[in-house]
Order: sequence, then structure tokens, then C-alpha cells
Amino acid sequence: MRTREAFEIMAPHFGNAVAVCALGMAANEWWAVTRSEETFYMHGAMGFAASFALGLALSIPDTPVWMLNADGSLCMNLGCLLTEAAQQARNLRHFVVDNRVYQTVGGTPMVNHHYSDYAGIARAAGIKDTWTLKTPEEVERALPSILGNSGPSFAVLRVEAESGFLGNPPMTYEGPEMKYRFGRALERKLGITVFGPQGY
Amino acid sequence: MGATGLLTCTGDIGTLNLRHHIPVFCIVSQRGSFDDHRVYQEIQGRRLHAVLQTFNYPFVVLDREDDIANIPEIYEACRLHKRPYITLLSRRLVKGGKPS
Repeated sequence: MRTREAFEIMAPHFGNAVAVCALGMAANEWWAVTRSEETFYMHGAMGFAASFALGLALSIPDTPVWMLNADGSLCMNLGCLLTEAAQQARNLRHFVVDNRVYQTVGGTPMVNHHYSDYAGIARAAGIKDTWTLKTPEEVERALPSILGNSGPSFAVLRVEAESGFLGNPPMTYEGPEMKYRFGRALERKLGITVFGPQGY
Repeated sequence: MGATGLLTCTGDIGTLNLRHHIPVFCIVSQRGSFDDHRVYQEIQGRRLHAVLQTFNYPFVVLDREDDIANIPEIYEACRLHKRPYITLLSRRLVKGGKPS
């Protein structure tokens, strides 16, 4: 399964959710498939998109929050799973694109990639609803349960390592613009105030 | 968090909060100051302010109980500055005026 295939299956189910993407291929592919403005595309802070998504999920508990993580980013901050398990945000859906390489730097293998079982790690941390999905058919079949069950859930998307990569993120938003676009999208979607009358 | 925790995550708050202009209000116990005699806090005490200045993170030190009333104003300043903003609690304040 290719990352693009998995995201093309997931995108029609996005519905009223918002998303946070880890930097790298997860962000690039999600943008390519959805052009979603209701997604925060991380440009840096490798590993910390999951913490960002958890904070977001806790602050808007009635809105589904999808975390589109990657195996490299997850391993930069495995402790996020303990916090997710402790907080039990029922609206959080944590997906991990697992291609077992650092694709954006040319395919350097992930450490321990022959043995790592990220769903097992999440389950042992205390996240009960975990999945490992290896084919488009498995993604198609599992999504209704993943999205229908009370979260948090954690789903590994086992995908092929791909050789090509986009050197730059396809979206042209610089850091502050990303913040304002996402914040304004949340204001429109949820009817909330993110930025005050003076713009901060 | 403590000073060591803050030093550990300076890169993360740099690349997330500083890069995206996202304010994050941190309340940090200031370890390694003259009134803190733990040997394992000494380096934090000597270099914490310098590291914060290097990243250009504004910071204030609260030393007395009366200073705590300033926290809402400091929080507002954090939002205005749109970056990490560090409020350091002196060891003396955290310990309620007692020796460390």
C-alpha cells in the first residue's frame, strides 16, 4: 500500500474533523490529496505534532481530531503515547504512516524497523483501540470502526517506502501563515474565537 | 516544569512555537540559583538565563509571594509577544521562603 492510496481512502471520511500532520511525507501527501485548510501542517518540531494534536483534541472535545503522524516522528517522541493514554481524549484518532524509513532524507532505515510494533507499544501504553493496517482493503474495512469507536485510537498504516520525495512542502505557507490559516479555519468551522480583536 | 525540563525542550519550543509564532506560557522553577544548593542543578543555574537570551525568549523572575499576582499580566504579554514566554519562580518562592 502506498501512502497516497491510504489517504485517498481516508479523505472521504474526514467529515467534520480537523487534522494535524507531522512534517514530511505525511503532510505532503495529505495536502496533495485534500488541500485541506482545516489541517495544521507541521513544518518543524519533529515528533511534537502528536503533542500538539492531543492539546487540540482536549481543547475542542466535540470535534474529531485526526493526528497524521509518521514512524520517524513518532519515534522522536514515543512518550506522547503515555500522555495520550493518560488523557483519554475520546475525539483523538492517531494514525501513523509507517514506511520504516526516513523518506525525506533519502530513505535512511528506521532503527529497529524489523521488530518495532507501534500498535503494540501504544496498546502497552494504555491505548485500547489499536490497529495495524497493511492493505487498502484493510483500511477501507477498519475505518468505520476506528472513527466510530470512542477514542483515543491508534492506527498504523503500513505503507511502502517510496524513493521519490518532494524536497519542499507542496503548500507554500510559512510558519506564522500556517498558524493564522489554521486558526481562522477553526474559527469559521467551529464558531469559536481563536484570535482576539487585535489579531493575537 | 523545572529548569532542566525547559532546557531539554528548548529545541522543540523553538521549532514549533518560535517558528510558527505560537505563544506558550511556561512557569518554570528556577533551579541552581544562589539559594539552591543541589550540585546537580548548578549548570542549569549558571546557563539558563543565557540560553533563554540566545533564543530571544522573554522571561521574568518571580521572587516574592506578591509577584504571583502579576501572572495574568505576564500571560497576556505572552500572547502579545507570540512566542515562548518564561516565568521563572525563584527557589525561595517555591520553598515558601525556607532554605533549600
